[in-house]
Amino acid sequence: MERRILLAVAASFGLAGRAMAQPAQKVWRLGMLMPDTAPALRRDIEIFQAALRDLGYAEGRNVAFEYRYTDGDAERLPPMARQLVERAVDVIVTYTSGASVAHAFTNRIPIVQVAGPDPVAVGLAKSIAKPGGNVTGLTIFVAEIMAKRLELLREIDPAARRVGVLLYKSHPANTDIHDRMGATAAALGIELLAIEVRGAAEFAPAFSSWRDRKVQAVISHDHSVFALGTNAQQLAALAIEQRIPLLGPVDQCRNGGLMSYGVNIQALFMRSARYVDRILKGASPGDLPIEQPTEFVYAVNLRTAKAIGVTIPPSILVRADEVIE
Amino acid sequence: MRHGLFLKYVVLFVALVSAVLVINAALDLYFVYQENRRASIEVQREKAEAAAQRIESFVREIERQVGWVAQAQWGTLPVEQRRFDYVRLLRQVPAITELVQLDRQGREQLSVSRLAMDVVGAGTDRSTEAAFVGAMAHKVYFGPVYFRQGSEPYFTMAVSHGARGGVTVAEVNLKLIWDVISQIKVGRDGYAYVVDRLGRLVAHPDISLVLRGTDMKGLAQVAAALQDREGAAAPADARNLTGVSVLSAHASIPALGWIVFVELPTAEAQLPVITAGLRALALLVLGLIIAGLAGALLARRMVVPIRALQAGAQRIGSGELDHRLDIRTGDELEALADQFNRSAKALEESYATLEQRVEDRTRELSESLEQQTATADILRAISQSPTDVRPVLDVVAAAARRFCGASDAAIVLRDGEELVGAAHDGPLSAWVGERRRLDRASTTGRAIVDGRTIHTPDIDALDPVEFAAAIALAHQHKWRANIVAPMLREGIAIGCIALRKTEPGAFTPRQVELLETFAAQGVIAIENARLFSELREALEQQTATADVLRVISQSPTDVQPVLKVVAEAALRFCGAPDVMIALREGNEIVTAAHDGALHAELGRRRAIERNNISGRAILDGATIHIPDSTALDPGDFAGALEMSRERGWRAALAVPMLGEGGAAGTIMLRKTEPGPFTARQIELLETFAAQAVIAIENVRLFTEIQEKSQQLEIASQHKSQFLANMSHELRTPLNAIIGYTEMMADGLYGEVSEKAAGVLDRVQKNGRHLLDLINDVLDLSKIEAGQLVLAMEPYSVADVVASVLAATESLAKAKGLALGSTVAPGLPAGVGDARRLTQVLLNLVGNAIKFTDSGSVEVRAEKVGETFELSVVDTGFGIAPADQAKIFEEFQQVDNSSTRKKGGTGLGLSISRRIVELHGGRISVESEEGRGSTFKIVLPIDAPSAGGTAS
Repeated sequence: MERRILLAVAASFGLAGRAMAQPAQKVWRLGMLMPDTAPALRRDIEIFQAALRDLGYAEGRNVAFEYRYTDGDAERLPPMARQLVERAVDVIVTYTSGASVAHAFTNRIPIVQVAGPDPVAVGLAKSIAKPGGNVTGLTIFVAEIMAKRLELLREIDPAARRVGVLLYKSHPANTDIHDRMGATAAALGIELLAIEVRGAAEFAPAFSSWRDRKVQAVISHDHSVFALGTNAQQLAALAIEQRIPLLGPVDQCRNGGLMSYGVNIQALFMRSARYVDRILKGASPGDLPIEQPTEFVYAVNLRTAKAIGVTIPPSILVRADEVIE
Repeated sequence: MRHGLFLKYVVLFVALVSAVLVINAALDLYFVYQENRRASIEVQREKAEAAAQRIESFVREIERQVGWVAQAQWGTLPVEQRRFDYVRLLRQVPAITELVQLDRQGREQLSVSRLAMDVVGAGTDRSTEAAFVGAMAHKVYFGPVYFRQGSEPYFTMAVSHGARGGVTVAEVNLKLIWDVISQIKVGRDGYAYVVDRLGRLVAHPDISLVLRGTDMKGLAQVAAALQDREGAAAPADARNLTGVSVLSAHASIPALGWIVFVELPTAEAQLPVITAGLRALALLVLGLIIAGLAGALLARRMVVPIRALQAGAQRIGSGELDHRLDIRTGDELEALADQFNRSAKALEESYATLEQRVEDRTRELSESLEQQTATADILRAISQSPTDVRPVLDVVAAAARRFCGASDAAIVLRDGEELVGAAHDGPLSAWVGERRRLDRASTTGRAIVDGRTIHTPDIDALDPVEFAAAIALAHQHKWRANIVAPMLREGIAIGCIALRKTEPGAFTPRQVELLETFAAQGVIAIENARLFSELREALEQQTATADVLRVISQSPTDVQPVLKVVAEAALRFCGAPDVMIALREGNEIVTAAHDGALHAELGRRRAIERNNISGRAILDGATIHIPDSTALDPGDFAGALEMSRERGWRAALAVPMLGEGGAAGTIMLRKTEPGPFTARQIELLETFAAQAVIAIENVRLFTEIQEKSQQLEIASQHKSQFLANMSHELRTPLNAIIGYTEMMADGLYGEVSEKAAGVLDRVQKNGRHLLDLINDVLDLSKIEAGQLVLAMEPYSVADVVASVLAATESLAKAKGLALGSTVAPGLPAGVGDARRLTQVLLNLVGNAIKFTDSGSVEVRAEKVGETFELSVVDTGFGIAPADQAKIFEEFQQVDNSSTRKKGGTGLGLSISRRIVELHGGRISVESEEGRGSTFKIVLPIDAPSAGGTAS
């Protein structure tokens, strides 16, 4: 009899133990639509994965990544987006124009934009506070930042009158950029010469074109194609070669650009991991407000300044968050 | 049952322990819950206050940073310097997105933004804005939270540069407070958030909620906290936006009017309680197991001795009284076992005593049974020997000897003034059958005379003079001690019973008592025999009387058999050797019957004289008693003496048989021995004498009646014969008279005058009446002489009635009477003399018509049982009750004027009655004067053929 009681107690504990055990885990599949090369994005991807890990997602255990790198080729973006949609991944993570392209193939699979144009402005969301569709994530004030870079340029070179603008071909924010920059340029008495490129191959022709037009500086768009790896180095080299300032995203500055005023992309990758987490936990992307950056970074590359013979005034250096020497 | 107590103990123990544990756990849990809740809320409140402090300091820090430029002189600095300061300020304070300098008049002097273009000297008038007004008035102004682009939380901070300076307006992005809030960690899932004074979310770990501009007023705790800024009354238990139950605490930031909430899911907050609960459960289980084991152990210690007790008690109970319990527990159980042992011992002892008692009682019972048996033997002997007392006395003597434990017993009866040895049982000699004088000299005599028990323990110790006879007897029969109990009937001793023994010594009181009992039984036996004898004698007398009477009735004409029976009975009952009956015939007596041993000569005659016994008895009409013939006076009883010598008797008793005309004879007892006859013998003999008289009287009367009736019969026959002859002889001349008269009236002998014709008619009518009369007389005489023969044959009642009606119809018509009949349908054919029956009915109907002057006459016929009922109903004068009995007698007619007027012989109804009676029927009349009469004939349907001859 006593033995029977013990057995019953043990059995109930056993049941309780089993009830508390973790259920068999679903492995979520994330479609990583990356409009760049894998090496260039390696650091950002690592940061994203680390952020997911902090939220309890480990690759191979409960999350799997399907990478699609376009290697900066805008033409490859649509087919890769379609592949991910057809493979029915749980979430698509992308940036810049990736959200627009992926949205063209699905309005069902959630799409998290790590960074990119204002989704409301490009028609992917109804409002910042409540997007209402399958696209959410973060936006950067790319047009305002581009305009602000123009202002920054004026501080180091008050004589600048002709400025080249490097844009990515067919980028959805291009119009907005034109408008904002146009307004600022007009206020500052500056003429803008904008060139849209598809990839690194068109960098040199663009610069040669600007040389011909005697531009005194170039302001670059924030696309990773212009910011990361050899592309950025190539752009920086072209600018140095022409001894003109190149102002663009922070990574570009780190790769040789003269100055930068912009957002911290790594912080955005970290933030976007939270969106993925919320969506995988059942939140609807349409209910998740789109976030805007609060942190803006001033960076100055003193080596480049030295190389092109530009003196950075103390007022700029005082503000600089990052000074590359 | 096998586990009863054991199980109970265990269950009780377990229940007790578990109850204590459960109560303990419940109390513990309750306090843990309260304490935990209190502590949790306290921690949350502390965290909330800390957060509030940090937020406030965050805001104050911004205020301080802004205040760095907010100096009166600062506004006068060159614009580049001011812009530089603002840019530096933006770098110092990341939360500030935009800085605007307003001059004293509220005009915009400088605007530096992170995203917008920097503007210098715009001059826009913003003096009416709340920020400017507030800052100018209170030095510092904190604006309400607002959302840029509908999602980014901002608030405006304005800091005055002093009275003569201007105002710096900073747009502060509150998303950075998120850092503060998200750093607040409470437990695992706890969180903090901040709402502004309107209840809108300012900061929340889930930034999207803030960006969405969530309104938190809907939450109870938020609403309550907004109502009561002191925060004390806000509910601790609440639900968050997702409906999860939480513990909520808050702290306010007075400067901003914001409230910091710290909430922890109740489930998590109560985790320690659940842990404590599980611990308590584990403890309970452990406690139960231990209690079970301990209970089992204790129960076993309790139950084992109890079972031993039970088993022992069962063994004792099943009769093993020598069994002893051995329990050494040193407690109440051991005491109980000892008690059991003592009880068993006591039982054992009392059992032994009981056995002894049972043995004694059994012995007493068997003795009693033997006595009962002896009594039953005696009673059986009594019942088997009702007439003879001797066998009973033998049994009594044997029983008395056996039960009294004596060597010898004897019974002596009293017979008048003598003692008779009646029964004896034992080795000593006795005088059974012998007679002795009754006196007080012997022990037996003394007991009988005194009517009490005489106990003689030693005969030699008695007074040799007074008890000489008794001592002599004792020596003769070789006994030394005796006891004599009288057998008393109604206080008089009728005998005694004695026990004797050869050695001297007293008899025990029990022996005395028993002996008296047997004496009583002896009395019963003797009494019984006496009563039985008397009863039998009475019965025999009755029988004898009945015999005599039977013989009298069987022999009405002859007295001889009666006398013979009387003689036999007298001989038997009177106990005399001889009886003789003599009858008186004139002056002589004749010996008529005799029975007995002495000689008698039947038919011998002797003259009735006073000198012989019979003669004297007849002459005196009294009983003559001669006890001894030799004592008779030869002068008076010469005849008797002669007879005595002749017949050889010595005593005689003669009783006269007294009838109406004196003594009809005598009945006499004789015996060869002299001696008086007892009173009973005399009484009996007188009874027989009376019976004999009845018989004699009877015979005489019978003989007379017989003679007379024979004479009467002869006379009657003569009369009938005479009448028959007379009728015949009368009819012949009458027929001649009527015949000639008729011829004369018819004019055969010439013309008759009218007068003569009238006379002839009268002669003829009277002649016919006379002829009818004679015919009737003839019929009657024939009937009386038994000469009327009925011709028995089948007949129909209806036909008889019809023929009667046909014959009388004219008569009724002549008198104006209605004549009718009612004959029941389907009457069977009868057997009888139809002609005679028609005659009867004709007579009745004729009478009815004759005695009815008006009304009707009706004949009815029906079947009742096995008879016909014929009625003749008229409405005539009727017959008086006194006359109704006479009308069926011969020559009787109701004597009144009307009947005489109607004429008639008066024989009709008599003849009718005879005829009906010859058919085995009856005729009767019912009548009431003036109302009419009904004559009714009841006639067997099948008349007995025996009616053919007249009796």
